Amino acid sequence: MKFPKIKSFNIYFALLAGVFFVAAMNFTVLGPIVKNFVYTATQPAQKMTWGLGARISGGLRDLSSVQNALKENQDLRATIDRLRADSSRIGELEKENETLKEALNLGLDKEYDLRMAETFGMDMLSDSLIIDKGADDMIEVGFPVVTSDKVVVGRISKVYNNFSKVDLISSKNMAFDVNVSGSDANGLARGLGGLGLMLDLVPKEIEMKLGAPVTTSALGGIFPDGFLVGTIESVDKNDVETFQVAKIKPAFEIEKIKEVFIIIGYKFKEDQTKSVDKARKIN
Amino acid sequence: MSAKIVFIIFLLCLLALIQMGFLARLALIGGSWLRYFNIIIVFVVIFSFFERRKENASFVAAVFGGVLLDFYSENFFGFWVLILLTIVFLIKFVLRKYVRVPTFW
Repeated sequence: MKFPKIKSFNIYFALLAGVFFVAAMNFTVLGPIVKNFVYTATQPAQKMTWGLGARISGGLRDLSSVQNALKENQDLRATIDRLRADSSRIGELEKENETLKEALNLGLDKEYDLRMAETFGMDMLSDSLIIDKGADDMIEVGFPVVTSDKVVVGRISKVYNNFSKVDLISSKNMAFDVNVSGSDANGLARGLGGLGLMLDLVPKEIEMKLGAPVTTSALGGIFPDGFLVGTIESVDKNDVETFQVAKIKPAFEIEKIKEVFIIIGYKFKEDQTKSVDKARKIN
Repeated sequence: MSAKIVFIIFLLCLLALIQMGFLARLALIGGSWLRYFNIIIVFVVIFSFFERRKENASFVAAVFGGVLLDFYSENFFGFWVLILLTIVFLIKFVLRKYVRVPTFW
């Protein structure tokens, strides 16, 4: 095939301008500025489509569960009867809990400096969310992102002036230390992409129960201690491998997440170590 | 031709909003295949198939669609522009060189 000769000067000019624009977007500050402007300009419309998608996906989910509705109804009736019997005790426990919280000054907002942010977009291919807080709100790369129920969602991966990208814990870029409740198991949770999460590097002799909660460990310095990651869904013990692996069902329900909290000031310890070394060299 | 290009650009902007907001939400319950479904890529491919053989508006659609995907992508800027331009070029090449179907082309 003979390639047609491009005789128009305009096309050459457009091609050259395109190359310069791409280079400027990748290697200069123009990239973050333009992306921030685009996110700002599209934020109102995108919030609308995000909300519409949430309502429709909720409706579709309800439709798909019609088949199990009858069985679920029977199970729920039995649960209600059981809970009625326990309800008298709950009131007392709630009062006790509030008293203890006040006494020990506990609560997520008291433990950490938090910023609330709203989600309005998601990149399914890279398991990342877009939130409406950025550098102007003192957000930095590496800050953990959690829900109000102390469930870990992910970590800030990119910061623009008014927006940030959050890598979910299921992102392929994520690996962090975790504990498995009910056993002495410490392991490494790795994101698989597609909202999948696995637990690795757990010695084979440690017994892990299905449904056991998995919480973050402060060992790696990526997330604070004690935040819920998920539950053990399945365990795979291979005679050939040194360690056993398990599949984790993430605790965060991505389709229900609208507001998240960013823990300000908590950064990956590697940065802190580097800054300490740098300070020592200067002194 | 210019009115057509303006319409294509407007439509791609709308599809980008739908992709990043509406479809991203639906993909969470739609199964793994829907996570990889991208309406902008589908539009550009279909448009380049059904465009008249001698017209080149699909290249403009590929560039603009790629720019919109790059704004929301984690990859280097220009990644999706290159991918879409390559796809459109290959489709046009095959259609012009090897396909002789007497339809609306």
